[in-house]
Amino acid sequence: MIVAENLGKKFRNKTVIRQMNCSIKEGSIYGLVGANGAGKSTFLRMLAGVYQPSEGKAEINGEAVFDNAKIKKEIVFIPDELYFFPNYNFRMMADYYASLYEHFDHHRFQMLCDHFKLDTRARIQNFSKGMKRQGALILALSTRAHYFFFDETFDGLDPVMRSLVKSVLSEDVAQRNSTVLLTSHNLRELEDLCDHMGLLVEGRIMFESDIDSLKTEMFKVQIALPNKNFDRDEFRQLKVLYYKKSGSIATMIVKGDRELVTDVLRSKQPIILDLLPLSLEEVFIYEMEGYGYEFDSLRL
Amino acid sequence: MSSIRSVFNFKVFWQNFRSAQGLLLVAMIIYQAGILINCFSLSHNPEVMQVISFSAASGIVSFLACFLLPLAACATLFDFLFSKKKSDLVFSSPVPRKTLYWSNWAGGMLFLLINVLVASLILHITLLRNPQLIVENGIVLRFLILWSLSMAMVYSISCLSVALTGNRFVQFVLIAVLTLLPGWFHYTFQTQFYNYDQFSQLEYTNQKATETLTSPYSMRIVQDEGRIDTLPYIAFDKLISSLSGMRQSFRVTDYNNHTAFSYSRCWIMLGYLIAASGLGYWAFLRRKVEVAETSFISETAHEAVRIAAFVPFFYTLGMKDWISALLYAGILLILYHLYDYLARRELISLRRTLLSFLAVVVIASLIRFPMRILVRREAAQQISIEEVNSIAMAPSSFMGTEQYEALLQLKLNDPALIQLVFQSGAKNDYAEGSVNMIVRFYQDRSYSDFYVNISPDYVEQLETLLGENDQYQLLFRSMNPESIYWVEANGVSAGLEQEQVRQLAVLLQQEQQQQSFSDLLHETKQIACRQADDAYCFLNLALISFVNGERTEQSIDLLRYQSVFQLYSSIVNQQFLKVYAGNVRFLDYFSMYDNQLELIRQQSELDYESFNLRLSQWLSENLPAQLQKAPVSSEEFMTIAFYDSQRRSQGTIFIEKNEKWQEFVNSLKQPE
Repeated sequence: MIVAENLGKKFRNKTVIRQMNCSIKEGSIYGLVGANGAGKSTFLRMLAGVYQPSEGKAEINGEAVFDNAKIKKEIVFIPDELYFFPNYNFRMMADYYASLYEHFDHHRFQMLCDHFKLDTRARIQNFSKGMKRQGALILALSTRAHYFFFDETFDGLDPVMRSLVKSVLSEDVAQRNSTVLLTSHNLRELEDLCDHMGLLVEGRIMFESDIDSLKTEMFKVQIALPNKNFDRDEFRQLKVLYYKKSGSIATMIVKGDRELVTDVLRSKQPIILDLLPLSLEEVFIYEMEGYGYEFDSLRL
Repeated sequence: MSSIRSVFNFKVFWQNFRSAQGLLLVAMIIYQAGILINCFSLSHNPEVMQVISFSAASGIVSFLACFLLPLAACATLFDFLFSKKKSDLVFSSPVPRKTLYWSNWAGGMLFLLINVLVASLILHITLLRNPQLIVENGIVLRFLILWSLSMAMVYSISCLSVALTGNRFVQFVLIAVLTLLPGWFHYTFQTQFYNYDQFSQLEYTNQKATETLTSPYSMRIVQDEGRIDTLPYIAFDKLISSLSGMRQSFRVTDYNNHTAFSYSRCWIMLGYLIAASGLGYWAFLRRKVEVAETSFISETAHEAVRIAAFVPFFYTLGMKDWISALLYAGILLILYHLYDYLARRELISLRRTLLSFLAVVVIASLIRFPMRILVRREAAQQISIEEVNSIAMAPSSFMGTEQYEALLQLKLNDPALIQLVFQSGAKNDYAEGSVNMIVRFYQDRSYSDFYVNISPDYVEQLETLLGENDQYQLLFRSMNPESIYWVEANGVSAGLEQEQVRQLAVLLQQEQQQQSFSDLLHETKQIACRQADDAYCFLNLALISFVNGERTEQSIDLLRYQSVFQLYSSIVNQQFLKVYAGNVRFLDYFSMYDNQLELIRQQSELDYESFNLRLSQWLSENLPAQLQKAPVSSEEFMTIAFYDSQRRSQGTIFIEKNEKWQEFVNSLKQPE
C-alpha cells in the first residue's frame, strides 16, 4: 500500500507538491496524469526516495521511503530521462541492478530481452530512445521488485512496443500482485492499462477514481426539447460540467449515474436525446474545466 | 561486519569507480607521466644536487596534482549530485545514503593513494637508476605521507563542498574558501603582528613585493619554490602557527631533515580531513534537493559562503585607505552580484546584494579593528620608546603598505620618530639618511649605548659605538642589502625578553668553559651555509667585545649546542620564534650542513677538538685560494663561508665542488 499524506515539496521558494493525499492499493496499476509542471515527476521521486519530502509523509507499507534501504529494495523507479553508465551494455547494467537488488532474475532478464529483441551485448549509447526505454523497463521488471514507478512510461516507444510493454506489465501485476504507478501525458496510453487514475493539478490530486467509474459516470448529451427556448437551468437537477446550445439542440457534459441521468432527461420529453460515451482524455479535460481550467481552444 | 557493510559497500564503490574510470585514468596518466618526465630530466641534470629533494623530484606536476586529482576524483565519483539523470538512478537504488557517501569517499581516497604510491614508486626507481643521486627512503616515505595527506585533505574538502551545494561554481568557491581561508587569516594575523618577519624574507624587487602583499599565497608560493610544501600544507602550516606557534618547535625537533616536513602538521591536516569528511557526510544526509543548479543545503549556508569568500578579498584589497576602499568596494560589489548570478542562475535584487555586501564590509572591519587594537596594545606593552630594544626600517618603497604601517605601529610608536622616518625615507630608497637621523634621534634623547647594526656595505658609515661594554646580542638578519636594516640598541633582541637573553648568556658562558664549546667557537670566523646566491641568513648569538674602543665579535651558531638548543626549544612558543616564524626553515640548511660535517667527523674518527683544529687549520690555509663561484642553478650547495669580525664576507667554499676539500676530508681518515 502506497500512501501519501499531506505530502509537500518545496524547491527554494517554489512549492511543487502541496498537501497531497493519495493511496494506491497493492496489485493495482495506477495512472497519474496532469499538465506539464503539475508535479508528477516530483511525486514519483519522493515515492522512490530520491527527494525528501518537505512536509507530510510518503510511505510504503507504513514505512517512510526516504533513505530506507529495506523498502527501496522493493522499489524500482524509471524516470523520464534515463541514465545508463557510459560504455555499458545491458548485460553490464543488469549486473549493476543485480548488485543492488538481491532478487534480480537474470533468467527473466534474458527472456525479456529476447522477447523485445534487444542485443544485451551492444553498447547502450548506440541504442535509440525507444530501445533504451525498453531496456530500462526490462531491467526494472527483472529486479522482481513489488513497486514500479514509471515516469512517462511510453515515451519513445512505437505502438507495437507500447502494446508489448503493457502486456508485460499487466502480466507481472497479475502474476506477482505487484503495484505499478505510471505517469503520462497521453491519457489514451493509460486508458487500457490502468485500473486507477489520478489527476494531478498544481501539486495536488484533484480527483482519483477507477477507470470504469470514470468512463461510466460522465457522458456527452445531445438533447432537443419541445420548448425551444430552454436553457441550462432546465437541467439543474444534473451535474452539468459543460453546456452549449446551438439552435434548438443543446450539447452537455453530464456527470452522474447513467440511469439516473437518463431518467431525468427523459422526464423532459426530449425530441432528440443522445447519450455518448467520453474518451478518458475528454473526461479529464471536462473534469479540469470543472476546477476552473479553460480548454475551449483545445476542443474541436 | 554488517555495520562495516552498512558504511562501505564494495559493489557500490566498484560500480561508481568503474563508471568514472575514464576520467580518473586520464588524470592518473597525466600525473604519472609528469612525475616520470620530471624524474627523467632531473636524473640527467649534471648540476643536480646529490640528495634529492621532494620538490625537485615531484615538480609543478605534483603541486598541481595536489589540487586537480582530488577535484577530478570528487567530480567523477560524486557526479550523480550534478546529474539529474544519474541522481535518479543512484538515489532510488536501495543503498543507504551513509553507504553511498562513504563508499564513494573511500573510492576517491583509494584513487589518490594509488596515484601517490605509483608516483613514489616511479620516483624511487627512476632516481635509483642514477648512481650519482642519493635517495633516502625516509624522503620517499614522507613524500607518500605528505602528498597523500594533502590530496586527501583537498578531496575531503571537495566532498564537503559537493555535499553542500549542487552548483559547480559554488563548489569551487567553497573549496577555495575552505582550503585557503585559514591560511589567509593567519597571513593577515601575521602581517599585523609579525610584519618584520615578512620584511626580512622579502628578497624580491619592489614590484614583486607589492604583488605579494595583495595575495596571501603568492608570496608563499614564490618563497617556497623548490620546496616540498603543497599549498594546503602551507595553508595549514599557517593555521597551526597562528594557533600555537608550535610549528617551530616541531620543526626544530625534526630538524634533522632536509625538508620542512612536520608530523604535527600532518596530524592537523588529518584532523581537518576527518572534520571535512564528517561534515560532508552530515550535509550529504541532509540534502533535500538532489539536483538543482541553484541548490544549496540552506540559504543561510550559501550566504555564509558568499560572505566568507568576499571578506578576504575586500580586506586585502580595500583596507588601505578610504579612497581605495571605496574603489575596491565598488568593483567587488559588481563581482558580488555576478557571483550571485553564477551561483543561482538568477540576479537577486540589488537591495539584497547591498545588504549582504554590507555584511562583508562590516566583517572585514571587525577583523581589522580588533587587530589594530591588539597591535597597539602589543606595541604599548612590549616596546616603549624609553627602553628601545630594536627598531626596524624599510626602504621607502614599502611606505604606505599595511606592513610598513604595522611596522611603525609596532616599533616606532613615537610620533616624532615616525615623522622622521617618513620624511627621510621618502627621499631615499635605501633610507640611509634615515638611519643617521635615527641615530641622532636617540643620541638627542641621551641613549648613550647605542649601536646600529646594518648591512655590511653600510657598517662603516652607520655604525656608532657609544659605550664600551660586553654585550650579548641576538642577531637575525638577511644580508640582502635591499631588504631590511635592523637597528638594535642595548644588545637586547627584538623578540627575546631581557631575562631570556641573560639565561642564554649564562648557559653560553658555562659551555664556553667546556672544551667542546671553545673548540667549536672560532673567534673571528663563522661557519655558515648558503641558501642562495645573494641571501645569507643567520640565526646566531654574537658575543661582542669592546676592548680599548676596538670591537670584536664572536658568533655562535645557536643550534650547534645542546643547551642553547634546549633553551631555544623551551622558548619556542614565545615571542622570539613567532617573530621569526618563516625564517626557521633556514635551520634545515644549517642542520644539513651540520650533519655533513658531523658525518665527516665521524668517518674521520676524530674527536671534536681535533676535528675542529684540523678544520680551522685547513680553512686558514686554503680559503683565499679556493674561492669559487657557485653555479647559479645550485640552491643547496653546502658552503663554508668566512666572515671577519665585522661580519663582512671573506669568501665561500662550495665543498661538494672543491677538490682540495675532498683531499682534506680524505686526509682526515689518515692518522696525522
